Amino acid sequence: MELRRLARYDALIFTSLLWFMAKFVRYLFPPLFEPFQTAFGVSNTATGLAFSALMTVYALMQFPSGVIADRQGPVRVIAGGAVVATLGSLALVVPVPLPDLAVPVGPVASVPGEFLAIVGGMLLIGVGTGAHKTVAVRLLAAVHRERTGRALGVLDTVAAFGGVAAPLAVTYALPDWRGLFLASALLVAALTVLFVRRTPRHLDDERATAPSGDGGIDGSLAGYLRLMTVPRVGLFVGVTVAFAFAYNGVVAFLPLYLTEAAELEPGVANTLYSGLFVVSLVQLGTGELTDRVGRLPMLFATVGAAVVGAALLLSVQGVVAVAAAVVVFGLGAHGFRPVRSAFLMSLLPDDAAGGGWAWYEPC
Amino acid sequence: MTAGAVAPGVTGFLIDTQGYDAAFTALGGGLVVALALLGVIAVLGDAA
Repeated sequence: MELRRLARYDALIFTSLLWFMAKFVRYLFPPLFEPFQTAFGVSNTATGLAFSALMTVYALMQFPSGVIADRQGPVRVIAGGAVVATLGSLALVVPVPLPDLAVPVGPVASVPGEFLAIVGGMLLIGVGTGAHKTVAVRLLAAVHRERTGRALGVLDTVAAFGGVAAPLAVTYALPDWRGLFLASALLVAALTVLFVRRTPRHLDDERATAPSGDGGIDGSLAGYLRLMTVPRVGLFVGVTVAFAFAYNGVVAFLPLYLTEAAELEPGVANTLYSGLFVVSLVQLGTGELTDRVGRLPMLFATVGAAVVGAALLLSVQGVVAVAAAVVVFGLGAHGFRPVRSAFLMSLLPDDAAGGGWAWYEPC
Repeated sequence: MTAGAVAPGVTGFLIDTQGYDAAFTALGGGLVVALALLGVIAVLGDAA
């Protein structure tokens, strides 16, 4: 009986687990920066650029994956993305002896070929995981029309634990980090098979995609750019750009900062990094608090907490104080997300909100 | 997402050239800018 009830949610379960794995594989990399630097003799710039490359192709996939999903259906796009991400993980399982790449300018003469192969795998992971979120949101909105908010909450909450699990898995696996990617590839392959087998029965032709709501501002880039000329919108885009830059920079290099600057043991550093994602559960509460105390006060509270956390991180010593700094930063940074969404929706005209969101996400 | 995507590369470069404290101070500066812009939005109110 219980299993039969659970079967009603199998599309939600497998979509969420695939998104969990996407986050898991992405957040395996920051704790691996130090092992990569030791093994391949590459710099912080090189590892940072590799992670930026992953994030860039991830971002670039958002729009085309939505367009392809309109034609091919969401199940094919999500499954296709998962296959590409699986191939990316498999590319990291064994060393690939590519030739070194000569760099004509800059402080380094060449980039090791083996590291280039890792970057290639990271790019595939970025492309594959980039196909998931936008399409998954529309898939779940179509399958769970009556409880879309709850379904999307499950999707994001489950995925948050991908960030919790990844650094702990790296601590457990080191020095044999390549096995993590083999395990990830096998898990994603299995989940993809289950997703493809179980999800289509929830979709008929009419419900294959939720309305995309491209709004009444003609859907063109120029139309969305005109929105930026409204001072409040332009200023808030500035807020999110500054915030996104700071958050992603911290998230990419926090494990190294904790070991190199805060002088913590790698295992402790990875545990604190994992804690940064545990506190992302705060977003379940800040969304609701926003309705009670107002959007602007909550924006000040969350961004202010992130500022305090970052300041503490730079000024305190000792594992307890540093852990407190990470938690305060995480509460602010993750708490900001639902408040940001709510504030943006209040800025945009009703008929532009759906498309406006799609335009705004790449900022 | 674009700002977020370039951040790791820029941060890595700052760490290599200026050190961890300077790089993380710059990231904290980004948050302060965000807070300041929120202040402008609050001050301007509905006029913005």
